[in-house]
Amino acid sequence: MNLVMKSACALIIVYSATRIGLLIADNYRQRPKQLRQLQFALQLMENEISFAATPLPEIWVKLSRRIKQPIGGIFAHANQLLSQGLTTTSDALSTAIQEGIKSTCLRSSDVEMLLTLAGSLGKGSRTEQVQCIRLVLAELTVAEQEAEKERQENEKLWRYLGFLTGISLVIVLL
Amino acid sequence: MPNQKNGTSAPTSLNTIVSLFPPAWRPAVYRVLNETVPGCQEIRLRVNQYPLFISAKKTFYCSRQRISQEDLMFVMDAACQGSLYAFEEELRMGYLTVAGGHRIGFSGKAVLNQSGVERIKNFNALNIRIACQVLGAAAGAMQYIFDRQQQRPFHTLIASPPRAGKTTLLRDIARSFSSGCQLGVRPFQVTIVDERSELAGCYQGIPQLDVGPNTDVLDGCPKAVGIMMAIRSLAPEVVITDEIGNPQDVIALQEALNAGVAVIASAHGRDIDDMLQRPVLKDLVQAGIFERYLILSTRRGPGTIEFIYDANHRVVKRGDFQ
Repeated sequence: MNLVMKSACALIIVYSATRIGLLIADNYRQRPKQLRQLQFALQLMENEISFAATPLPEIWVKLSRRIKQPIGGIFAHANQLLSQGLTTTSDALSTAIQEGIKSTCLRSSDVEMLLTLAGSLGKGSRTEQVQCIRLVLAELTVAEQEAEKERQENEKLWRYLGFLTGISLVIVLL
Repeated sequence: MPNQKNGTSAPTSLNTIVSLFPPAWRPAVYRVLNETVPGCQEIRLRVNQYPLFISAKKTFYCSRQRISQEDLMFVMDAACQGSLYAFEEELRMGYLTVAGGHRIGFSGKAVLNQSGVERIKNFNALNIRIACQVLGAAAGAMQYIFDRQQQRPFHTLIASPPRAGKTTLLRDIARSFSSGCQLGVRPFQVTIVDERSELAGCYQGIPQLDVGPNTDVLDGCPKAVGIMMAIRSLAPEVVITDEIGNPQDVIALQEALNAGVAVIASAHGRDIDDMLQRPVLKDLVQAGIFERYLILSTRRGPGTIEFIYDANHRVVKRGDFQ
């Protein structure tokens, strides 16, 4: 009986430790991906603004269709907020970013960048808008490169680290 | 003269006005538009002042609160969907048209470039002109501007001081010729050259007001260029345009007359003598191009027709009808 209990506990410990490790590894894997999606979104936005002068709500509809969750969801949410007619366009985007960011792997530094952009979107001429977007795009590229480096360093590490920590815990406890 | 106004397209389009305002303002604005100042034509919003509602009979300050810069920015944001860059041309011209055909004019700091005003920023005042379509506004006038013998519209000039209903009348004339009406007027092919987006109230290119089924609208197109374009490419029988007054307009109008197109236009002016004082209009009036002149006033509300003259400035009909 005792043995069965012990081995069950050991299994649970190893399993959960492995899961935690995988989750952290996944976080490292997703972040550069999502940053790339964001870059893609901003490039689309830049094109729409500079060539077609499409108003922001229309751009967001396009973005929410073309870009995968959870990044695409941010724009869909912004549109939804805007259609209620209670906020300004840039406030709608800011709120959507702050709420939507929880379901992404982005960090507060990334959010800061996006919020700055949201604050200046729609406030200037086409060339000014494009400049703003390019600036954020450049920052995003840097962030993405760093994230990619981190991923290479940490993804495999955490994948095994979780499992190994679980095993070592079990050994210690036994 | 029977007054055949069928009423206005009020409720739906008032909602688009109300939704331009910040949420806190909406109940008050809704109340004022529906109860305090029915038939409101203009809403003026100036920073640090009370909003002003103007109708033909009444001016009313809504003393709820003074307008703040944020309120103004909210209205602008709602009007241009938060995308100033998409309205660069409008920002240069100083006005834009929103859904429902209402026009918002604005003032602020002008940003200059080599060729003139590039755009306006830091808005300090907005003037919302509520598009109010009066279906049947032209019913009384139609029989005087239609040549029954030749079955074509007369070349007509409508003149009045501002806010006397020129645009409303012109719009309904367009609609009446385009759809045909009881006086034996068959439907004509009409082109509206709508330089200031007021006649048809185009929003994203689509007319928001009823200008008839056989009407083409050249939206935002300079009159002189637009009239020539229309004659060449749209083959209109009637060209309708607002507020003529440039020398180029006159040349284009003459071109239209030569092409056998009926022209119906409007201009600022109290009466014929007043127009004879004005440099460009003088030539037009003296040349005897127009066969009918409609002089409007606000004596019995906007759209009161005071006089109808013929080409030789003889009174065809002493008005006082709408």
